[in-house]
Amino acid sequence: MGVYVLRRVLLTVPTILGTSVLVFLILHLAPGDPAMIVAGPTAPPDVVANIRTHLGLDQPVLVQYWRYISNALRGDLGRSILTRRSVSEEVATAFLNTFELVIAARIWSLLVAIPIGVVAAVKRQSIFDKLSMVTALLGLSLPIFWIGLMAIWLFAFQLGWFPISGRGGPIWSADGLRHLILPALTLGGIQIPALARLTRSSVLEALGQDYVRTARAKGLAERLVVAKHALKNALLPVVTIVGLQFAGLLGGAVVTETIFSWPGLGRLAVTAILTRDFPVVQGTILVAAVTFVTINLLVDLVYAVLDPRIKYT
Amino acid sequence: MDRRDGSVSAGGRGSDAWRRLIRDRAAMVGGWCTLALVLMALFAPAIAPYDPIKVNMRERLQGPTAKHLLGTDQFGRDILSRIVHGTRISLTVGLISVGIGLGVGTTLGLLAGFYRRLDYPITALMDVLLSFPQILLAIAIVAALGPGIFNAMIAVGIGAVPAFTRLTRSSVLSIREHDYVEAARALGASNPRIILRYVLPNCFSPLVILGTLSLATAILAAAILSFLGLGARPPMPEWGAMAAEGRGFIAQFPHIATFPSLAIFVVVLCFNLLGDGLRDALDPRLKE
Repeated sequence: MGVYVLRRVLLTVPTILGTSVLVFLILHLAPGDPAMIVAGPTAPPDVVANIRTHLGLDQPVLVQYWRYISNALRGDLGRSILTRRSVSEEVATAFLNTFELVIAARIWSLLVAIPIGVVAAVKRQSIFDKLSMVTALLGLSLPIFWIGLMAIWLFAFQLGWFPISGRGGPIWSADGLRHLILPALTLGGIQIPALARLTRSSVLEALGQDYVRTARAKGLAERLVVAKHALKNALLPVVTIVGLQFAGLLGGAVVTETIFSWPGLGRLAVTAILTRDFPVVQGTILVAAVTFVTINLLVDLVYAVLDPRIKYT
Repeated sequence: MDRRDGSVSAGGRGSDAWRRLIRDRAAMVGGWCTLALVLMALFAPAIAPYDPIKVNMRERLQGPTAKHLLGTDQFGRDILSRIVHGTRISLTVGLISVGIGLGVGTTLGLLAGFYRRLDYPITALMDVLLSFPQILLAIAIVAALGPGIFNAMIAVGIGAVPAFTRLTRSSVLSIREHDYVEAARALGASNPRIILRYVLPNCFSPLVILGTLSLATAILAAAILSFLGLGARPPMPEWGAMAAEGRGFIAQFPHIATFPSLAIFVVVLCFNLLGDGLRDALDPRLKE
């Protein structure tokens, strides 16, 4: 177990390094001169040259990468071209906002999807099963922005229950919570279909196992068979998908945050791309990718704890 | 293909799969809808009642009427006509993105699976690409190339590469151990010949399944990029961009954003149904 954990953690290092190289290269090989963008279109050539030297853009790419990565490791991701604020600070604030949104979305999607999936599996071929699975299939194909826009239309404009957009007060205040609900409903809602379908097939598989038959044969109540024997084993793949779905959540957060003007990483990244604020683009994407890799690592480790059969090979 | 070599034969398995596919009602719905969409895209100018980008301020912001079946937008453009023309854009985007993913991904997967020396670098690169959530990778690439529908296609296509690479690689790893590959090698077939004639045809069904399902994902991803302002730009009748334009009018005129969103929904659903059906038909073991 200890060896597995160590190896799995060590394997993450090259991935994160590769990720940082990729983010760095993508933006450095991009057409357009960052120095020109900083200086503005009308700047005289010597000013542009000065900025280029100042930003280290006249150095070889390797040197630039080394400088970027060693600064990044110290928590310095450069400065925003637009606001001149430290990218690390902007990213940290946005990160917390995205974190709140993603966790809220995750909690409510799990609360809805897992019961639906379990009931659909236990009552296989029932009306509930068919109806919920058809709904799930339809839900999988809905574009997330439409769900968000409809949530705004219904709950903000028609019913007036929640604010249209923005962050409101801190998360623990009533105002902050009111602002959180619609974006979290949207982001979590889009995850429910896949999660419910997976829970259903996972529970179905567990219900077909020998140990479930044994449990039934010894006269255990069906409720206990499901709860104690099937569910425990069925939730293993669900844990993986919950982790993997963080990819979807981070991706969905980009859209959700844009629709609801939620000041998170996704919105920061999109705004930065549209204003060509490269240090911010680089910082947000790097942090998002590293977060994602870390979550995958945690999922693997949790998986190993839940299933003692897993050994690293 | 010759059955004596033990590889896939067109007759038996293929016709079984076809029979399973046409018995699958959901897949057939997906298939017919896809056909209808392709026809709509091909004959868009003949089907659309109005010019999709012609501004007509006198008829702006109308709900569905007999004259404009799906209403008009803030510039008085006929939403139905825009959606019909948008079919062309969405299908093209889907095909080109998946084409990039399939072409690059399959090639890399074949190389990684067949040549041990290339396996580690290719797998490592894919691990790095997979460490980005797909839409985020697409956003990063658009950030580098600049916003626009063409760059969005490239971005979505690159985002699709790892899935195809992994699938092909794992298929190759199992296929290369088969006797018929061994036999071909013993007969003096060169590596490229073995790959093209024996290995690739046997990866065919999983690739078709992934390709179809990827069309759905790619169209959705490109629409999302356009919605964010990173893909198609106005006045192009791209559905994601249309939904974004309707966003400002959502309080009073939700139809402007809703109809293009529903169009995306229908297309994505069609390809999902068809892809699920193909999976069940071509690889019945995967069926729950």
